[in-house]
Amino acid sequence: MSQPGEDPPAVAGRAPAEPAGADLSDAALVRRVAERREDALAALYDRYGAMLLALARRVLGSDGDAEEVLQDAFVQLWRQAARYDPRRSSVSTWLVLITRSRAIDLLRSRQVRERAAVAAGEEDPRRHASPEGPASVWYGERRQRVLDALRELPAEQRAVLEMAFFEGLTQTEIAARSDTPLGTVKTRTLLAMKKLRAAMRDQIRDLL
Amino acid sequence: MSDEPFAGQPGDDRDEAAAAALEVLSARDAAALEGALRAGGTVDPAELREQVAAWAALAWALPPASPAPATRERILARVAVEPAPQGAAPSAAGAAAAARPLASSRSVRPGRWPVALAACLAVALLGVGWLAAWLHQQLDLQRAALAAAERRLERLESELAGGPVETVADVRRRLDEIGRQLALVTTPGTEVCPLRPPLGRQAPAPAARGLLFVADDHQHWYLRVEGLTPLAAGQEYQLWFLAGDGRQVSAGTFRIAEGAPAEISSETMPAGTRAVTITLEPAGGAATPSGPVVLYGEEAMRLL
Repeated sequence: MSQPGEDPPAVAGRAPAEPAGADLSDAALVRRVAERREDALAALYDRYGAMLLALARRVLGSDGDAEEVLQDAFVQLWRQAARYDPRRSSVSTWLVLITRSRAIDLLRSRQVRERAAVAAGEEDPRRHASPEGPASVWYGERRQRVLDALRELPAEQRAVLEMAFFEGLTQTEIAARSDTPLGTVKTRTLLAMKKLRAAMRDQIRDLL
Repeated sequence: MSDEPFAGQPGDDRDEAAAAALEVLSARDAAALEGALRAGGTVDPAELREQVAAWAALAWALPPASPAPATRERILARVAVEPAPQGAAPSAAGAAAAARPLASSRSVRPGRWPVALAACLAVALLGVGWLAAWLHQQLDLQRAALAAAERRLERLESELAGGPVETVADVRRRLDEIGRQLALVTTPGTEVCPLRPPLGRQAPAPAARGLLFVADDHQHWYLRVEGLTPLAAGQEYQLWFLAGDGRQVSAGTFRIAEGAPAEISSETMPAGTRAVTITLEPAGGAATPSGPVVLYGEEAMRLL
């Protein structure tokens, strides 16, 4: 079985109605979603649902809101699959962007930022970890690579990344939140991004 | 770096591009990124694409979560009822605006009734038009299916004694049923009551919608519901009418197939019915509503 980001194996004479399965690449599944194939959407959900739900939970601090965002993200994928351009980003990156954008929008619209920030500060592992979560080898390897890259960052650089990514804060807001000069926040952000990209350069091919 | 992402300032270097990737992650900023790339400035598209991928990869640092088992089915149910681009469903909001309680006689204020009447008529005509078109389409589809089944029957009869008579009979029964539904929804005096999920975020099927048609004799009715999720074993949907005397009267239980609408009809309805509810109950149904409310409707409007 190939990994999700790889090209699908050539299958001669595949019948059009054959269910979209795990042997197809992400891009191939998105093409089938654009053809209104619900089985392809389900396959992408099975592949990325757990990761995207974790992201939405981290942003929103609420299981109910996160499940709603997850649903909305996949409905958006259903509606916009025909507009997906693989030259711009990988499917997984695209899905992360969709989910994060919706979660941040909801966070802002419901003005629950304070609640989420408090919850994030508590770092309750039960809230982010799920013993029942999928633990595929593929998922675990990818997660470990990202964690390794993050460990190479100084704490203050990692903090600005997390505030920007998981809380949707602008650099001005990060400066205010952390009581740090804006110029310092910008410098930390630049350095963090450069280091993250450099540390993940070998792995990014899977995510492109 | 300014707070305006990808503003395309001359002289931006690659570090600036890397920083700009931080803010490319909303739909608005994605469009801005695309614009910046097209502008052909000093931003290296491949490098920036790498940067965005690294940024998005932060999501993988989180431990995986387990979506609720029903989430997958809800998503599939939602996309199954996504309107076709060229389709135009009747507006439930519009219907509600001109609605009145079931079996009630709310009066319209003098001076505004011509406008209200015109609004009701417009909404009703749109609704009836859409429904009639849909039902006619179903009739055509069933006629085509019947013709195909009959052709197949003829072929089989030439090969075997007997044939799939039951299949043809089923199609004929379905055709008759659709004909009765068409007659009900196009008969003057028929009222329609939209069903919607309850307010709040815990509705079991937030994408579900329904329409209850009640004949002017307040006995014959036809209910069509879309967007319900298939249930696990041991559960059923149950339909309730709130009678005029305040009792919740069960109108039966039902299940649905994946992606299929629920259609129920009957020739009896409690006297003075003023609301309708669908709840989630244990298989076999409950004596009184006990499970979560899936859909609810209490106001109806006369179609013609």
